[in-house]
Amino acid sequence: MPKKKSIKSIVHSAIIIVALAFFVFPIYWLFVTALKIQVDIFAMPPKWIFTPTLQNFYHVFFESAIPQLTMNSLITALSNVGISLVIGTMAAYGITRYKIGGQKLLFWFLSIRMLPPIVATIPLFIISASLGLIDTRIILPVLYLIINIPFVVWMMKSFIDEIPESIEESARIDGCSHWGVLGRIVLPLTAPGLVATGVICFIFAWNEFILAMVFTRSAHTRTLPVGISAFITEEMILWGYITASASIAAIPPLILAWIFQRYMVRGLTFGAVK
Amino acid sequence: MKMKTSLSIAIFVAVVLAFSANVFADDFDWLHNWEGVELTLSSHTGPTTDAYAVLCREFEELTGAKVTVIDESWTDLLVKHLAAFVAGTGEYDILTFPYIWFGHYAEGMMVENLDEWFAREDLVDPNYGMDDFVPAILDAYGRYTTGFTPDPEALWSVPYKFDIYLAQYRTDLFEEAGIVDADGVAKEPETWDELHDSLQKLQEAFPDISPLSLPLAISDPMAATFVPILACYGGDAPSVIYDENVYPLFHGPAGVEAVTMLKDLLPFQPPDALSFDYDMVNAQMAQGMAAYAINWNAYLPVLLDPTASVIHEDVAFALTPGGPEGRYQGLGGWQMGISVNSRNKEAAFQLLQFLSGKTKGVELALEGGSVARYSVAQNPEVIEAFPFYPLLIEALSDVAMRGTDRSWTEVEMALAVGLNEILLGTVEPEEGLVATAREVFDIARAAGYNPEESGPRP
Amino acid sequence: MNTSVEQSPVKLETLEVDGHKRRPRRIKFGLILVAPAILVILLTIIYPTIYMFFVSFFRWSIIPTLPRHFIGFDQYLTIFRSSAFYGSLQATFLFLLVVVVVELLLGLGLALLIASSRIRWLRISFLMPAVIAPVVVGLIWRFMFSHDLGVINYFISMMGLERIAWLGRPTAALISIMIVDIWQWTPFAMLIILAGIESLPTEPLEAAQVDGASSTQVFRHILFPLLTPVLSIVLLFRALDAFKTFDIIYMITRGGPGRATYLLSYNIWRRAFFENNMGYAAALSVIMIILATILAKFFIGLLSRTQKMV
Repeated sequence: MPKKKSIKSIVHSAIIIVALAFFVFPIYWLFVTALKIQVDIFAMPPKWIFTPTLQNFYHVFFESAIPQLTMNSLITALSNVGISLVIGTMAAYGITRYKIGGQKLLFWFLSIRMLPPIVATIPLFIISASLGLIDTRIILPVLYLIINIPFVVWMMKSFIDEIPESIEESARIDGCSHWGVLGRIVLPLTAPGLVATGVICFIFAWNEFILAMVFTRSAHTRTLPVGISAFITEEMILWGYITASASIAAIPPLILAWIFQRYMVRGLTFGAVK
Repeated sequence: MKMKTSLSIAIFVAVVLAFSANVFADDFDWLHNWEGVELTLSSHTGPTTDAYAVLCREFEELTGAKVTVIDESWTDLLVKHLAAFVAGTGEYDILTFPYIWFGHYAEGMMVENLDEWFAREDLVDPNYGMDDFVPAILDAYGRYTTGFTPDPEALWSVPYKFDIYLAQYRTDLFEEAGIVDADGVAKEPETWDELHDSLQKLQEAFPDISPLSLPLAISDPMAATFVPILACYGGDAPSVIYDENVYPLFHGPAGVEAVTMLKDLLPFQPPDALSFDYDMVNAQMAQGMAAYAINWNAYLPVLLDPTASVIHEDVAFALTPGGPEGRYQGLGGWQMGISVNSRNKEAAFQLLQFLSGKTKGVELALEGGSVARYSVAQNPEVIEAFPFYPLLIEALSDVAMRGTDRSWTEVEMALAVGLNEILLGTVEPEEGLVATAREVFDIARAAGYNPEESGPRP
Repeated sequence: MNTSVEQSPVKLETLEVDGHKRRPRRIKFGLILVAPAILVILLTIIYPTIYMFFVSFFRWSIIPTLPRHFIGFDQYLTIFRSSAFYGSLQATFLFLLVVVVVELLLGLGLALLIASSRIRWLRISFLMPAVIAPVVVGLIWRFMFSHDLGVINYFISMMGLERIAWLGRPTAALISIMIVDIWQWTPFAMLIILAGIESLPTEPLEAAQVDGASSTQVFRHILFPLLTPVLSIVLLFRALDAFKTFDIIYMITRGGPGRATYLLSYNIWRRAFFENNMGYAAALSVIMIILATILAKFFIGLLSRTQKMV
């Protein structure tokens, strides 16, 4: 009986490892390709052993706009995360503790998040074109609010729900104002949740493509995913540069996901699964 | 080759010209001082823009102006320009765009009429060399005659970069398969039928590779590949897809013959040929997986680069094959004009001349730009760096173009899907082309053109 | 949509919640808290959507110097008459259906395996695909799919099998796109279901084992009902996200061959931003919003029902 069980568990482990290989291989392939010269990238059979070159990374770092775009991505994502957290947490607190709007409002927020972004781009593009907002630094952080505010509302609601309401009540009896309770009691208690929520908002804003592609163009505003797709030029696809810059774009989310793994599942399900 | 004598004369002339350009330092007398002026050139990512950026730096040094070059992925450049136009903030001074979008710029009056500017003697480069441009190219990239044109004679833009579909073939494989001329040298196929025969020989000799590689993917590559073939089998080149009322012309016998030829060529291509964008064709060729391919000239330097290509020693270039009606070559390309919202049109006009003028042509070509000037194509230095350059100019004598009107990008999709379906075998050529023509007719009508003036709905 | 926002406070005022009466000041503060979020959403989504509805009745170019004229329902009629639209719709829903079902099943299977496995600690490595930008994902797969030069066909031919024209045939291309999505999001489904399994109460499972129930019985009668809330969350997120797939199409197939992978989002993008045909794209968007709303209503309904079951 125990022997049978161990065979079974070996088979299980083997399946898991094969599955993992399937899910990890393309990412490995991306990083490896970034270290090859063009003629090796498409070599068939693939070159498993080759002399790695840093020339793609060198070009991307020192001869292209990628460093600047990385900064743009950072600024865009961080400013959006800041605003989303403030507005979203306030709303979440209002909904949970002051019972404004209730379930209906919560699901309204969720349904906004579910709208395909492409349908919003057309009217927003026409409107922001006439306002001269295309290709400004504020447009993307504002647009990403559409997706991140509903997310923050849901996430923070799930964290606020975990605080016993009696703590807030007793603070209020001690003479704390409404804002005081929020600032001095609720925020410190949900701090880990705030950080986790912020991280996931960040990953989203960092990866977003379609809005960034439509609403920005110059190197001052463009984000990293748009810059990567720009290496698909009208004249050729620069695979070495693309894979090098794609590797750069992939690293921050991977690291963040690793550090905040405890919160990732909760984040990806809007706080529904803890 | 037959152009040898004319070429050597031309080389002599070009050498003299190049020499004189260096002797007279006052080449740039015509440039004003633009200290404090900021100019913005909007373009797409790629070697052409990199080459122009080098010239822009030089312009900055000569005039004191500050030139910003914005390059981005080309696919949504049109809407970016439209958005800037609506905002009216004048953030772009020089606009560059492919001719397939010409209608939006000309009909929408987004670019200046350059005739008026070339009349400004105080600003004009005396050595600009308008007649040094290949005339067909100046017409293609500069004048807009389809649909509702504000002025069919006006010059709206000048060539920024021209693209020609060229054939690339493996001399070693051709020779081994016995496709040679009298001297035993690999012989390029001159007609589509000849190509078909050569491919049969190649397939027999090298069963492991798919000898042919053509761009057939949705949507731009498919349309671009079809247009010159259609012209070779008939049609009113350069505009073979439709007439000036945007009435479709491709569903007649010529269209059927052209698409049948394409279909006959399919078995010589890899099974995923219908997903081949230009880059895949390029990779296929560079990796030695194809013996014959057709692609834009911009991709050809990759094949000659040892770090990117395993066949850099065995590749030769040729015109694409012809048919009963002639040997038409596919024309692509970009043009540049002055934005009507520019706040510094005088300076912008001088920059435009500086970038497209004769004086800087050779330098631009050597940096990687493609320049539709006789003086450049005949320059020995250019020919040494890019052996296919004379071929490009030769190709320009008979070109077939895609549409330039506002509805072209819609038409292109309909056409590409229709052709893809014929190639996949879901419909018969004749039936498929008529259905596509009907679709094109409706698209033209919805866009506000009057195809019914040329004929009934197909 | 915003009626619920205006009505609810009024209703709540008379309600007794948590044992004490709602005081107006309390409500006022609550409203101040919620107002910015609602305002932002109204301005960035609701108003533009109404504007788009208006645009959809016009032939509309972004710039005023090109034709803009009222054509009523013409664009809707053209859409409903065009085979391209139905092709787009069919591809979109086929994609959605296959992708969601496969991801759910694979995710469930893997989660069950991992939950009882000794290499559970590996599970976080599965997260990698889900946090990488879809643009990057599309890029990676695009060249792995090549018939002659792709690494997938290399593995296939090493196993002695016939190489596949992944992107060259309509059905195969759609399947290829599905594979990419499945690759990216199965780990997501797996991790959520795994978290669901781990948070389950252990008593019913142990009791069943004591009673000698087979593992399939345990799964069908105990595990599966307990997992429905989690599964419905996966369903909701994956279905709605699959419905709006754009990035990987833009990167890999651009809609081809034919219109095999011409999904709705990509269709709209091309109409609007490549062809400068805003009116047509707006009409398509209105249709897409209606479909998305129906989908969201359905799955959110499913979600709130299953959540109550717990």
